[in-house]
Amino acid sequence: MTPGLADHAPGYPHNRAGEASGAGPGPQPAAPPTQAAMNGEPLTRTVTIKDPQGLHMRPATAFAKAARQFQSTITLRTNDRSVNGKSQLDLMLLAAEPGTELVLEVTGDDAAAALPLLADLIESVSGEDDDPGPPPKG
Amino acid sequence: MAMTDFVVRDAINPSLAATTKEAVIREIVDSLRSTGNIAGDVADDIVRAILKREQLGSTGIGRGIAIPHTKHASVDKLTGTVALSRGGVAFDSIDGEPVFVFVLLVSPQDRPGDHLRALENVVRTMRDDAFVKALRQADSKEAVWSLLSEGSSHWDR
Repeated sequence: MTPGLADHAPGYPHNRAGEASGAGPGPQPAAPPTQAAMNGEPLTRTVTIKDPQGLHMRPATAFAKAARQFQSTITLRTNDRSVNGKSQLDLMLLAAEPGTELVLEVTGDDAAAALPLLADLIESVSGEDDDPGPPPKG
Repeated sequence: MAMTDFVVRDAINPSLAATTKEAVIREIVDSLRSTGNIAGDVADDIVRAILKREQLGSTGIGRGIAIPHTKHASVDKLTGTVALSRGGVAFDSIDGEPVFVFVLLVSPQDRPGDHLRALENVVRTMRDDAFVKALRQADSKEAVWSLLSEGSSHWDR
């Protein structure tokens, strides 16, 4: 744990709306929280899989797609495994069940923007495959 | 878990007749029905559920491989099988390429862990280009099964 991380990583709890709309590429107001990332220091956050189906194919695909929008290196780690967050196949290798804690590690110029967005995404619930409701096609 | 733990050997199809996404899924589900791993009266429902899942995003993971899947209340343990297309099937895969290798999975409703481990297993096994190449050339149930057995033991760590 570096002091830099402790300072700002928890500073973006659930502020998704603000980041999505107002922020743009550099969502930091006053302080320079990108400094650690700029120096090549990884930003990390511990995240928990909340989807009752775990990190299955659909959320893995969505996460990898979002991760690929960033230049930073995105890594997800369990106790015994570390995978490339930009690869849906790598993410499926985690076989992460509901409740699994993962360390999300982001390194690069846009790390400060990537970390909160990707942390929120991996903790989101994708919904059931078999939701009741009308099928998309007629 | 190994692929041979959930792949139904007798339902392996080394040469699909179908050439479209829907027909392929129907043909594979029908194999699992004929081996008794899927009840006859739910086969249509399972096909529909798998197609509905595909509409949320293709399970074509690239490199000629797809993992069509669904959960279904009628199965009490995870079941699935492998089918090969000689000509390739348009499947809206992530890399836009046709699919030659299908691993179809039907999972019970309440056991996400089994499904996740099966997915992990398929993805891990299929990472090996040489394995996929050999699998695509397999011309019988026995040949597919023997590759899956070897592949699994080769990769089990």
